[in-house]
Amino acid sequence: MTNLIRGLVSFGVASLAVAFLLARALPREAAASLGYLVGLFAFLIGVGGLAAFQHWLKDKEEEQVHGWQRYFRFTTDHKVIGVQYLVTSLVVFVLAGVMALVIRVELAKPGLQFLSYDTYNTVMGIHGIGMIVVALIAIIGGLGNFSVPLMIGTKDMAFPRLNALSFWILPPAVLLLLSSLVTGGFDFGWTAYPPLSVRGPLGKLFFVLAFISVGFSSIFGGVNFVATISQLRAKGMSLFKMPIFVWSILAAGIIIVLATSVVASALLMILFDRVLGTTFFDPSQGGNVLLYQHLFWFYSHPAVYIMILPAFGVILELLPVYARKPLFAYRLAALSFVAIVVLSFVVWAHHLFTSGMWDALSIPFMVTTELISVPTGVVFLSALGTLWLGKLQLKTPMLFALGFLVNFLIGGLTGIFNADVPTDLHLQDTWFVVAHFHFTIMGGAIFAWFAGIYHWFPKITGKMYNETLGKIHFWLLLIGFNATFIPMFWLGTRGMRRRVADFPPDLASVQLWISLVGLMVVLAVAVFLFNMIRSWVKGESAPSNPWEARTLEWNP
Amino acid sequence: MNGAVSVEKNPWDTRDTGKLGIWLFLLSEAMLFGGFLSSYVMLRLGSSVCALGAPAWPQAGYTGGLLLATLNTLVIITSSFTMVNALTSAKQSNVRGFSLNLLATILLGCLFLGIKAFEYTAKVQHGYFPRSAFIAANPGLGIFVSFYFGLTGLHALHVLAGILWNGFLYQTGQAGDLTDAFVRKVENAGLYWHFVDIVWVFLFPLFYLV
Ligand SMILES: [Cu+2]
Repeated sequence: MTNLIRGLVSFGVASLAVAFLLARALPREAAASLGYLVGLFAFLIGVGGLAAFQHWLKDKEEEQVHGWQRYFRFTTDHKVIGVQYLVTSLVVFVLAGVMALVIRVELAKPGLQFLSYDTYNTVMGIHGIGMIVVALIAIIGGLGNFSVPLMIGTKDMAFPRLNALSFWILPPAVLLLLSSLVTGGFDFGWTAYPPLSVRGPLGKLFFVLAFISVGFSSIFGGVNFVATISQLRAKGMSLFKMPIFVWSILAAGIIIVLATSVVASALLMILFDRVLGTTFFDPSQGGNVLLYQHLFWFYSHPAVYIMILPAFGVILELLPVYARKPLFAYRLAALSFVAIVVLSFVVWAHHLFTSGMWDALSIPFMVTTELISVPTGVVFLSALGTLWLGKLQLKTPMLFALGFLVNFLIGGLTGIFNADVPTDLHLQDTWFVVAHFHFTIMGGAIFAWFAGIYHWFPKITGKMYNETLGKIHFWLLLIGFNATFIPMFWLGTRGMRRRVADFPPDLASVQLWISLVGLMVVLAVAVFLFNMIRSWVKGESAPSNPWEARTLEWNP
Repeated sequence: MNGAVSVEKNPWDTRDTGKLGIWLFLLSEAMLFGGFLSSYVMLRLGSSVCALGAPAWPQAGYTGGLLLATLNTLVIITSSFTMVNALTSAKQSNVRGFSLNLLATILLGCLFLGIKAFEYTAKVQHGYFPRSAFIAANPGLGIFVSFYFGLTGLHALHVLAGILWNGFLYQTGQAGDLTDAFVRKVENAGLYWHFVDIVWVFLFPLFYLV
């Protein structure tokens, strides 16, 4: 705990001191950026990263720390880092969830209640980017770090120190993001389109810096997973003997390595425009704002596969265990992951149908986008084939896996209307889009995350979770989530806009319904957190392989 | 599917995981520069439809800094040679050769940055920087100087990182103990340094020749 506190104090003191000192000589934005950079290094030193760096230089092995303190410091054990990621994801999930609550209170009635239009968009932006971060790190960083090395039979990740570094970049980035609330906020959602993002308060700069930091963290993680999975597998584990979850992490890792730095280039351009006065996005100086959208979505579309491929992996890993059958069409499922990786790079402009992009590009991007439904369909068939004639054991992880299939089917089918140019022209920037991606990310990735947490909970903690509470969590969430988000499709078709805090009175009853029924989701998450904490503290001891799974991590 | 696999500890040291890591990282770096470079190329190719009515890019005959940049190209290519020499010496456990060549690489890197700084200063004095009075009078040049400073600046930061990295290796290598693990580190640093060199080989024609 001392390390974490030391890190946080160093971060606060160093960044503020440097920023205020430099502000005398430099423009405000430059001083703040350098302050954050120094603060980031101070934080890393504070949590114990400097020793690891020196060990790296001198080729010394890290010594393993024991006891609960190790969760609060720079440690290299992949199991500890996995838990750190899981807990951090939960914290950010709750914070971003609180933002969602604020949004729901604001939208319970027409007219403005207590937020201004700008603050509403900042709150929505923090909710959005927070949940994006959760979806990016929860499964890969949490479950992936914990399970992948065990599943392929190696003692740790390829670069344990880099692994710790990619985790410890996150806390300062999250703090910076939250501090934008008191520095003017950012009213551009999570996408930071210019010209809105190149002028305005300091909060926008904080968003850009935090985004770049998370990008670095993600790249380090991606490099680490690809290197680990391709080099450190146990003897005899050829590619097509790897558990399907490992396949999904490998596929996501490849996307991370190839795509993330492209969005970094876009955000760096914004940073340069703000701090150095360049004119990448100033049309009066020959700049081009559409350029940003192309670069941004070149990453951010593949990014949904960084979120959803590991979710597919978890589901296909779990279904055989709880259906007591081998995975159906394993090879085909693995190959469809590869196909998704390739296709994900040629669909980005489906986000630009209404942006003023050259019209002739619309149809090709519509076609490539809809092509992705082929490998996705294969994944679904693999799941259904596994369930077919299986002896289904409806434990909590299995319930969440089945819930995933239902939600993701809805999410996938409604995606067609966004991919189709004629319907998208009408639906673009409405709540239809909001409902669609919540079905894929919340109903998909987050459900898979919960499934994985329950599945590996006995392995991670050595305790059993409470099955009844788990089932209550599942049913509350499934019903609450669907009751909340299905009406949003309808609102979208009625013209409810994504980024406007107000709406016409004829939508009021549905909005009120959503605000009320959304509380079921809150309740579900509360039950989950209670179950996790209670079971970890005083749950029954778990047998070494409670699910009789066949993957290596369950070997005693 | 995977029931038959036995858990055996990997022979860690026989596989060069570090090198793969560097290659993956460089792939990511290539996409970073790729994002900038392809933006530059696309905007430049599309500039005939630019709505400004003025040429969006430097007219023919714009040769500011060509001499300095040519010099810098020679400097950085030479530094790649000395880096290769440093690695070869390290492999032969030749501490003196290693140190001298690595030191030369570091100094050439510093020389590159020095020339770059000189060139920046000259450009700024002539008003070739974003939002200067000169650019305000020639708004079409604004996007060119943005890309110029953005990309060469980003590249210069990479050179600086390479100098620091080599500096750490130089300091460690002074102890005279060139182990296999250390040689691998030199090799990885070399891969990075060559990458930085290659990026400049792309930047040079795109900013100074076309
Ligand atoms: Cu997309």
